Amino acid sequence: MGLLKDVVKPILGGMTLTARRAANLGKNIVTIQYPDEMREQYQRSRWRHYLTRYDSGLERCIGCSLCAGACPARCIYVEAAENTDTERYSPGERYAVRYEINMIRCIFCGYCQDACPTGAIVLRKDFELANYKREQFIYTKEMLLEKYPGQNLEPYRSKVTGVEAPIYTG
Amino acid sequence: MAALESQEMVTITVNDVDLQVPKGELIVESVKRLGLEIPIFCYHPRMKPVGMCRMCLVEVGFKQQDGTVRKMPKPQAGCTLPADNNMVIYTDSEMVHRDRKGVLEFLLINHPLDCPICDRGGECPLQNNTLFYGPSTSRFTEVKRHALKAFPLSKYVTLDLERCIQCGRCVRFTEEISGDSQLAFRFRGASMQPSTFQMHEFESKFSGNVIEICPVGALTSSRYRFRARPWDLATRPAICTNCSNGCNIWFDYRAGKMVRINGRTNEAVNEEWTCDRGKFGHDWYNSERRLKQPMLRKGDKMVPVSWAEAYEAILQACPPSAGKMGGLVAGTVSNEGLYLFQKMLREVFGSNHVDYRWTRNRLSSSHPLSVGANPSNKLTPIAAYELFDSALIFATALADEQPMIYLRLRKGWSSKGTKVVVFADRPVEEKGFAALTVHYRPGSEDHVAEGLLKAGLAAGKVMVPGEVREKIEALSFDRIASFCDVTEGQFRQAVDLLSGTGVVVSSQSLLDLPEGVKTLEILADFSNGLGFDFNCYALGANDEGAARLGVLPDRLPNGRPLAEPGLDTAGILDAAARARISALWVVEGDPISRYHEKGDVVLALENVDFLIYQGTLANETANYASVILPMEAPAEQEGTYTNVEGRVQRMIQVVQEPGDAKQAWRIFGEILLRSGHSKPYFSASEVMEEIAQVVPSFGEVTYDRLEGEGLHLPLATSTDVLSEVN
Amino acid sequence: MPKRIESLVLHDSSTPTFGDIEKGGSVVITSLETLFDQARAHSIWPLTFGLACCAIEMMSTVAARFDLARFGSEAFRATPRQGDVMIIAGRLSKKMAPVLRQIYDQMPEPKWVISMGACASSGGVYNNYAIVQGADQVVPVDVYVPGCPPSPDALIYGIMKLQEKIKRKEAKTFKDLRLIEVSARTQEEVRA
Repeated sequence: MGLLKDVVKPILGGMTLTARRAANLGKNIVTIQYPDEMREQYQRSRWRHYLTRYDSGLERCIGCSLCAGACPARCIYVEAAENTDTERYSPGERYAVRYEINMIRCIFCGYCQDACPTGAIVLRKDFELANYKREQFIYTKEMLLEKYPGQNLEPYRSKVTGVEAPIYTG
Repeated sequence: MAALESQEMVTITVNDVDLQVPKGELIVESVKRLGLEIPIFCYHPRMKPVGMCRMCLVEVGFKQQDGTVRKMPKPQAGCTLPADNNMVIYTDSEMVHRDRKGVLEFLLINHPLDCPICDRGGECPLQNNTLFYGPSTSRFTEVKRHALKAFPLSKYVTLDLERCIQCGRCVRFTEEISGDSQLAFRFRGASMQPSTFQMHEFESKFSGNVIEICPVGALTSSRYRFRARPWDLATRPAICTNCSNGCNIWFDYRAGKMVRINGRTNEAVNEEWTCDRGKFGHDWYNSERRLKQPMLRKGDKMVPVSWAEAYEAILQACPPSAGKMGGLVAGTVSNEGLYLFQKMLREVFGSNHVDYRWTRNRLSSSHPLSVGANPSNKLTPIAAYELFDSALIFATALADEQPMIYLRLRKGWSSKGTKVVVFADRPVEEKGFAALTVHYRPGSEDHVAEGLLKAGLAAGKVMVPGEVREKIEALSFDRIASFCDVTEGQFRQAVDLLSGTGVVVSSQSLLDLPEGVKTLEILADFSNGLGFDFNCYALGANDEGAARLGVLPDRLPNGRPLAEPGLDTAGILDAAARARISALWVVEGDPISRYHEKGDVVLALENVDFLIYQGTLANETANYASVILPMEAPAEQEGTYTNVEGRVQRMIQVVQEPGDAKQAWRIFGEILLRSGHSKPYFSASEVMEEIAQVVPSFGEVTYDRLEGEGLHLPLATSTDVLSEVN
Repeated sequence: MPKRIESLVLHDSSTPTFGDIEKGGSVVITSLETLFDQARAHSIWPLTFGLACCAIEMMSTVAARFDLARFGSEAFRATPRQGDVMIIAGRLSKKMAPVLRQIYDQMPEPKWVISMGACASSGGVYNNYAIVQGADQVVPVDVYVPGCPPSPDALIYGIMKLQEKIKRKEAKTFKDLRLIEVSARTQEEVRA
């Protein structure tokens, strides 16, 4: 008698649950198949920095170092220089001749973006930043600066599969 | 200075608190006694108030007999308001807040607000005051004033007229403090602007100060332009070693590199000012020519070696105790380095051939005017210069050579009317305030001194010993005038002006003249005869220290004369040229460019067997060296410096030394240790402890006591003047 | 052992070992090694080393939504004996550093380290006396994952980078003596 109560009944109970789940197979899957599928990103999620340009192609950054002043991790280094009429990088007198971010120390708080008076430094959605060597994390001005205005405005695409990460709107 | 007309105390009421202040004290200063602050732009404690910016508006009333307060109908400028009895001040009332907001909004109407690119951004009084007292938004929507931007007023100063708030600090500085009146306002109203005459170059020895006192970014440093923001910088206190005044400075650096120099307040030395040589003359810290690694000559090439190898090479090439080593040192080495240098030469190499003087003539240590003969020779405190009745400046461009003494003398002239008599062979800055300026024929200093003494004797003001008197009286004014183009009338006029307490200022560069010693003696006689202080100032940052620490061929540090003196600079160079000494140790500086006879130096460097060059920069002398030892620059080391008034001031390590460079005292200490002549020295303060034991005048000096204003060596000073200062 | 393979193995001057391929192992072992690496790469069992807030994201990486099991790394082990990759998740204090090193030493070869987040990688905002300025001062780190904290997908990207590295045979093994020597020295310094 004990066999039915102690062995068969629990097994049947368990299998019933499994069967019920099996009936729902394919529905309500919570797992996101990253990297084949990208999780939606929030509008204000902050990852990799970019230095943007004006539509004219001039750099927005004026090398004012306010981002470095605002940075709680002290991971930004800016060196400024003076524009000349023959060599013009940004409107006005001053531009950043060196701009470096230590991505490994950065905490992606976005204070630099808040502090920036010209909207030059922005944090976009590129979260795939892992790498092998410390030196690879010093992002220089060449790496940070957009090649053309609005280069990285489109939704982020995975480095691995090229799948687009949707922006969460709801 | 805030005008303290009298010491009579009056009672004023500040924000309902009764306060005793000297009558006539400016309200802006009085409220500081309560820890309150009135925002200011144009007011500067060291300059006369003008009330131009209206930022310091306060509400003022007077207590009536019935106890009520009768307020003035309009707010008053606190910076021009002298305290008086029954005065009632409100610094925190609603009206005052409203007024400040209004003033700031008004000032900001034409201010471009380019703070992100402005060098002043982050340390700007306009920013700070706007943050604390100003409106959060502007109601001004019209077009702003446009004016000259980034105009290079001089090599050092850049003018941005758009940012100017017309406070007049710079204009008043050049009129009241530096006295060169280079800047003035032109035009009126909104287009009023500070400017040099017709926008010519801003030629001033003190132009750097206007950058610091400008409350906005209108005057900025051309050297510092866009190099860093204030929050990028670290700063530490230091001493300027570019001249012998020993000004206190802030040494701002970024990533280990010197970026700029600012004045640091030391009321006893430089108040808060710097000269341009100090403010802009530290770029060599970042020079490419800095020596980083010990080098040893192997064949024709200089090979980088370790310190141990360099020491071995020196000790092998220069046999100890042979007395065959000569040592020449510059006055930019710290006290500790100088002391150990002479100790090393005397104990390790058994040589007394050591000297720090590069002038053509040198006073022997037994000469009554030399420091060596009398280590407690009186030196006039820099702060005392504003208290003299008269001063004679003889053959020295004071603004260049002793800039802080120049500023003090000028302050004395403007506050109590010091009569300044200048004898110079070239146009000098002092002409602007001197009672009498006499130009003589260059090279005729000795005759001018004779003329002065003769005029003094003739006027009966000067007492001198009989034989000098006879010699001088045998001369005629006509004969003197034939040498130096100075007439009897001019001499007499000069002597007439010199009366009361006074000082005679000259420079060690007098000794570069063939008749230098004679000139100095006559001048000292003249000064002593008048009862004046006599100062013949050295030019090196630590020359006073060197003289007292025994860096002399004929004196030991404790002042004891040597029975067999060594060779002095000329003797050492001559002996080296004739190969009578086998080794020469040159510390810092370039003898080839410094010594008056370049050929002698080159001959010596070429003929000496073993030349050790120890310094901070590679230069022409280093090309002849057998061993090059890299030395740390002043701000890279721990050490003390003795300035012209005998004040010992401490330098802390501010930035890292380049490469393997070592501190001067450490190099000498290690040689001493290697040759078994001394215990190891672990820190500069240990060396100072030894100096304090050996050298009587340094007996009081310890590193703990050097905080703040430094320590004045216990020298016999003209007590009356000093007591007045204290 | 068939004779052909035996000769191949024995003709080699040095006895081939795992990870010694560059020095000239045998064809068979080399090929086997590739196979092993594939196996290793797809079953890197992490050793839990949650030190701070990053650990929360590390935990959520294993949970259903991100499901680290897809990469064969779901089995978080609480013992170094069964861990393949140590995920340093959080700020590493100087007091914790010797512990971390000891646990790293107790892990069996081959082993890897992921430094997760700004604090573990460089000290992050904690530039102070208490925090090790980068876990690589204590153990050799294979992959750094920036972020404060890195999101689960950023960590998964880091694990994919590590898999890539293992497959490319660039991963550190016990043969890479130099690095271990260096890290041992830093360990002594940390202890001192």
